[in-house]
Amino acid sequence: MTTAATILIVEDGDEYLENLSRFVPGPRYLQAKGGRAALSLLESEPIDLIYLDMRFDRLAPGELLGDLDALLARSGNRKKALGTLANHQGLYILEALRDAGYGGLPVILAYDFGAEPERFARLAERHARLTWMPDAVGPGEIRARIERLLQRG
Amino acid sequence: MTHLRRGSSGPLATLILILACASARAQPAPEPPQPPVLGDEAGERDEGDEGNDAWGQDPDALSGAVDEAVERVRKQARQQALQALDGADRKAAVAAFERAFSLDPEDAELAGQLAALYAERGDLEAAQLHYRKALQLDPDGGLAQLALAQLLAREPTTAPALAEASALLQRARQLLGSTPPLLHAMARVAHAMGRFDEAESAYLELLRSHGVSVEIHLELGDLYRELGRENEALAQYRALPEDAPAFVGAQRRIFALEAEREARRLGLRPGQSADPAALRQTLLRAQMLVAGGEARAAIALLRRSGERQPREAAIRRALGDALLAAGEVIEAERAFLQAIVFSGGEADHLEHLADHYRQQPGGESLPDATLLYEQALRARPDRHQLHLKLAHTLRQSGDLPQAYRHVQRYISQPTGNLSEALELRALLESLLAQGEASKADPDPTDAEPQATPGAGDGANRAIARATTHLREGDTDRALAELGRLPASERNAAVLALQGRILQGTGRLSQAARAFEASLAQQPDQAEVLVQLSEVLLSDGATGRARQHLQKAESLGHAQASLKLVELALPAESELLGAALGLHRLASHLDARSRLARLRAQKPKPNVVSEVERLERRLQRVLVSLAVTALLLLAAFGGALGLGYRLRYGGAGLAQLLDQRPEVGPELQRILSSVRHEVLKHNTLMLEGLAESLSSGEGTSDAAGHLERALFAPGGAAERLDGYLDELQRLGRAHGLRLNLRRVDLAFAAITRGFHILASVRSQLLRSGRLSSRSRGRLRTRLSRASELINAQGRAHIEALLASIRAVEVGRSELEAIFERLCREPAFAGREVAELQWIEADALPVRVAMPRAHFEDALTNLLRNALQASLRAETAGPCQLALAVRIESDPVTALDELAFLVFDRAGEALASSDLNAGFVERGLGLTADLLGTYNGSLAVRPGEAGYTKAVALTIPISP
Repeated sequence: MTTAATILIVEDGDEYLENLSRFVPGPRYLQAKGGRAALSLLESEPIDLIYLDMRFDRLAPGELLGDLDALLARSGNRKKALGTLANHQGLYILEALRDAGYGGLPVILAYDFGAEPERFARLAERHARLTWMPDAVGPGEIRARIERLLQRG
Repeated sequence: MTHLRRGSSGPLATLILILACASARAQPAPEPPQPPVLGDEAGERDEGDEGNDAWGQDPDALSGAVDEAVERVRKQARQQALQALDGADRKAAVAAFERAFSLDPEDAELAGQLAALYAERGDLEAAQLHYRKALQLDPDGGLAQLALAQLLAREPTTAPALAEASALLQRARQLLGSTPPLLHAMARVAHAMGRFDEAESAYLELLRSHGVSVEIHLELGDLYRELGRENEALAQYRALPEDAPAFVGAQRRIFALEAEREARRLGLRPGQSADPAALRQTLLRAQMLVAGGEARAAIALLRRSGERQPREAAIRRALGDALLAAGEVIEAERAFLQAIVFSGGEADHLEHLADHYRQQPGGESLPDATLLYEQALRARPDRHQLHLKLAHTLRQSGDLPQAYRHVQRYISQPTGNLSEALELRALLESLLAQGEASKADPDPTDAEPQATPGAGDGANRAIARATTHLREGDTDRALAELGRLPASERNAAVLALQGRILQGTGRLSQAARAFEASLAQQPDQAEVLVQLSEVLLSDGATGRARQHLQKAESLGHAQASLKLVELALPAESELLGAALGLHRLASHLDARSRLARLRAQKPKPNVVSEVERLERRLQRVLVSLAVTALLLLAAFGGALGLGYRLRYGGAGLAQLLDQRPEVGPELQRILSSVRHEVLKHNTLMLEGLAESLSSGEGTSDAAGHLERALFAPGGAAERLDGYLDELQRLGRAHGLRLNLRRVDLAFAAITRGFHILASVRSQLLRSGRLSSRSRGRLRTRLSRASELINAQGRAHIEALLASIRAVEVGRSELEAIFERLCREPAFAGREVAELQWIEADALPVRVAMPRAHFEDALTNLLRNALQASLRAETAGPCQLALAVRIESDPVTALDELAFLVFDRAGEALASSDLNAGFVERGLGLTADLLGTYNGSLAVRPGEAGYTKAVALTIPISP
């Protein structure tokens, strides 16, 4: 395991930080609780890999990234628009990272795209360094994925 | 005498005649008039004076003049009345018509007009009277028939009134043809009588031939609602234009119907409508259907009403009557009992059920009838007729003294049929007297105070003297006579007579001693044994009394047998308690044998009637015991079965989804939450800890972390319990008992896994101090838990989520929805062009919502657009267009299906209007429905010449 690597965990709780720290030790783990915090950390810290949660239902609506007005205009339903932002916030954060020039960083998105291959293919066209990892994996698989991504540089 | 024309008004004509005669008298006669001769009758003529009366006038001419005058007055009055009709003063119009009618009481038209005026003023009785008069005068008056029928059908109406109205309308139709007012009246009357098919036909004919009418749509909608045909009801309510005065009423009905549907969908009890008028109409309809031999239709009607008003006692009672008429006695009784329960034990309902029980053949239900009548009387002591009914019932049950008591109460304050009560009382008196007489009948076993040969003259003489005193009613002297005898001369007969006198005067302990002394001298005195047993029974010494009775029975005493049977049976009022006395079965069977033996002896008639009465009582007790035994067996079996079912029965989520596809959105939400909040990090933690245990690394921190994550307050285990409860509630709301821990594949695995984790919780807390063997066992158990939770459980949850039913939608389905919409009555006669397709390449697609909900939502959208377009009243046929597109979000790459309905209506519409509140025009309910499937409604800009589109978006099902 590349122990010198710094991995930025972007989540709205502490579960990934606590679990990865314990069960996939080696890298230095930093945590950002939301997209704005992630962008801020990226400016100040050299990050080698981003471990990004998908669902951010514990953040206040004002803290979510994404164009709520555009979603509202399309759906006409505020609850649905907020739900989309919260449940897929990881992708909005990814978009913001790319817009901010961090699109070259490898990203592991904690979401199971096994049943949505076409969707992932469209996302991968937009985010070249994007991979996904379901939650039902053990430390060994996470470790192997991190190593592979860091080796690619 | 002048003969007036038939039909002339008598008093008026007389007045005119008098005036005419007075006028004639005032004219100068050509010759000096002859004074009238006393005794001349008018009309007598002097001989030779042809054509002249005593006044010098021509009688025929006078008659004609009077007739003409009368006719002029009538015409004038009629004219005035007709003029008054045009005026605003209705009171004056009524007065004018009354006057005209009084002058010409055989004018049917006047009668009819007067009736109409009375009806207008609300004086329905007078209106009815005059319509009937009009029909008497002119039986073929179609308009009067129609008007009277309309009057009779007005609420509050009755069954006979409706029947008459129906007959009048049939006749009026023959005379007038199928005019709109007549068809409308026929529809209303048929509806009121519960002849729904007829009513529907009449309403539809009205709409077809005479166009749209606000009233018809509302009434037809109400009819459909009553029949449970909700979609058709909604279509009728929606057909009302916005500017119609009844539009708001229609909207309220729509809202109420939609709210009822939502309540049913969510498993909530619908709100109870407490409209007394509607209830009364329903009950009347049901009554008429039963009377017309259509009990089944009445049952269906009442059951539907019962669904809306489940605790309405009157509906339950009417349902009971309808079920009785249909021959379903047990169901009817259940309905009557429900009426009693829901009314809180109102006397009306108690009495009704009691009447039913009383009428049951065989008399088996008489005790129940008695009980209910008594309860009703307690609830309403002022209902004196209940005393009479009770008296009849008690007489039939054989309880003559109580029957007598009640008939006396009734007679003291009769409320109706006094003669019936008096007859009953006389009958009871005779029966009671017969009963007394039979007791006094000589019985071979009776210990009559006969002279005992050889017992001594002294005793016989004392008995004779005592008997004489008894006939005179002097019991004390009789006792004194017997008491004067020396003790040595008091034989068994003397002592027995002493005992009887003492018993009769209430000195029971002395009586007992006397009887015992008599029996000591002569043990085989059956009658004395019976009398002693009576004394002992009144003292509560049942055992000893039974012994004496058995002895008397062995001596052939029939009454002893009967008394023994009585002793074995519980009192009438304790029948319910007797049902629980299974341990007394043997004594009951013994009593039955006893009665059978008694019958075989061919006893006297009075004994036979007693035997029959006791046999009936015994039968009831045995039936109660049999029922109790069966119930106990059933309860035991049921308990076993229930235990099995509770443990192994129930359904899983797959079954819930299959039977109730509408739970899809809610189930999806819960399962997604379980995946995210319970399962999400388990694999990493469990496998991570297992790895550490294998490698021998320090595990305290990791194990402690796992233990907290799982079992701390708010941890995964607590959240799992919460979601299990939520799923159970979801199942219950949809009528299904879920067995998540044993039957459902996903949660059976997950809960077993968590059970394993709970069992190793203490080991997790001291993992650092475990031996290597214990660590090995812990690792094995954690791996097993991980396999159950994260592999099996998760896989089944994913399978469930995948199976949340999606429906495939193609072009033909969408066109069919549009065609069905165009056939709705609201759009009858409107020109609507074929649906134009702007885009359909994405079809067919799968939408993740039940077909019915999707079709409802899209239909509402199309209907809204069609109504808006028709309101805009553009030239040519109304044109709508549809586009179906897959819209992909560039950021999330999520695909949604968008169904865009385009129209050319100019009115502005905002998305907020679509989603606003609960008014149907705003599609608020449709937006809510879509929201449960993560869909939405929004306004989009127009395309291809259309002014705007309303878009229904829904996620695509993978």
